[in-house]
Amino acid sequence: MSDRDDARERILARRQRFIGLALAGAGLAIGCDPRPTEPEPQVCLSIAPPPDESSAPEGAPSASATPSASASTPPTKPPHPRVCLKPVPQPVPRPCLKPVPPPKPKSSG
Amino acid sequence: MGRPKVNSVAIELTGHCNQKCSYCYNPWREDDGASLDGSDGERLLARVNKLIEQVDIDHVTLTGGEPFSKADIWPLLDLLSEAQIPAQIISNGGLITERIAKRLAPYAVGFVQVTLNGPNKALHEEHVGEGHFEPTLRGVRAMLTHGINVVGCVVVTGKNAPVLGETLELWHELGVRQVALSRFSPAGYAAAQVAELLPTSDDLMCAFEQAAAVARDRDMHLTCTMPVPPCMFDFEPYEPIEFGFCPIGTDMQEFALGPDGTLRNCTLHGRALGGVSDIASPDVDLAALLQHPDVTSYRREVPAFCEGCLHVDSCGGGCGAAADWVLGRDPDGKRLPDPVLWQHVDDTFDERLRGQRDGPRRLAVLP
Repeated sequence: MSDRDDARERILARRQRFIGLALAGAGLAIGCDPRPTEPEPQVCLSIAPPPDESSAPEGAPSASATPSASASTPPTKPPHPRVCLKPVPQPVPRPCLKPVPPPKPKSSG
Repeated sequence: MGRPKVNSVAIELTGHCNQKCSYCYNPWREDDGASLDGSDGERLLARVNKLIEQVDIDHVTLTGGEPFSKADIWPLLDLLSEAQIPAQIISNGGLITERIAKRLAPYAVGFVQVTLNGPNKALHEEHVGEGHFEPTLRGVRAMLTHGINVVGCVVVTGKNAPVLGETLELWHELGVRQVALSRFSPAGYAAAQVAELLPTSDDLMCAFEQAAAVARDRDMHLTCTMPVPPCMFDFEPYEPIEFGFCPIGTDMQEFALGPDGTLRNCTLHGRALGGVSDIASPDVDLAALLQHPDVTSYRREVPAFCEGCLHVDSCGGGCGAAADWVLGRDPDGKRLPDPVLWQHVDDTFDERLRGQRDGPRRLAVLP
């Protein structure tokens, strides 16, 4: 089997699995998030700008304290400039590492 | 009602560029921007002023063409500074001398993102044209000397994917710790280079495996800045590389303001929102334009291949701009998936790519 065939088989199998999961709602039903690596929306050509800590509303969590589903990022890693693309429980569009506690407007799309 | 909020606008200062990159997503790359009416600096400032007045912009990205090839970058930086709008810059670095770096430093831009496409002169210049490797390195060093935050970038292509690790080592050696992995997405000029440059699934996995190892060993921060459809492979083995998805239609969207005054969904998309030819025209209401169906309906249209998928709402089939540029529409008028995925699924597209390749893509400089 060629590399292309391998890739095609892998892609079609993963797609089938994702469709199956979507149909069954299996992950949610058993309390397991079926989207462990669901990314966030992000600008394509560049990374996101550094978080503006100085503009954070009083009491807002800092950028480095933004909840992340991944424990692999050392908390001491410099927080700028970066996009918060770590998996989150809900794959809703959200700004990158901006400490924005108030509800954000929903996606326009 | 307040001004509508926008995450970012990529301001394309000029169509001109000193480099001739094979992966350039600008449709005007062929004539170096000559077809654009973008030479009037006052017009550019008028457009940006209007954006500032009518839209609440989180930050802007200055790009081009090569933004440092146009003197208008300085009054534009002044304007943005006065308006307290953070700016970041995408540049090839080749025009940044000591003098330019010294002048740029006080503006405290978020970062300047510079691209290197290989660990050596031959491979980098294979992608961008001869004579640009050393000037780019000089520009990076000059900026770092003057305290400017430099973010690296590698356009990951079928040619350089096997040596991504070495390219990242070069970034590390230069003193850069954050790098954007911009996997090649064919649009504009580059749509014609798809057979030569499009990385395969295996190319990307090979590249990301190297990159993840470098990120862990060197404590580098790597972001894959072009979407990769999650059906291609699992992202978890490549931690700590961060992956995202197309932000069009979300509150993370970065619009593009062209040198001709058009506003587009992103830098890769070629179509002017609402068919508006210049946003500076007095009859153009930017708040209304940002709510045009080209924006608000974008995510509702998904490729037939992706319907029913668990990830369809986020992934949406990958880069829709690349799909439009390279594949057009399916017989039902629907968008097709990202070419990086479709090359593995669609036999017709695969045959087209094979037919356009006149030899091995790998360069002699590669192991």
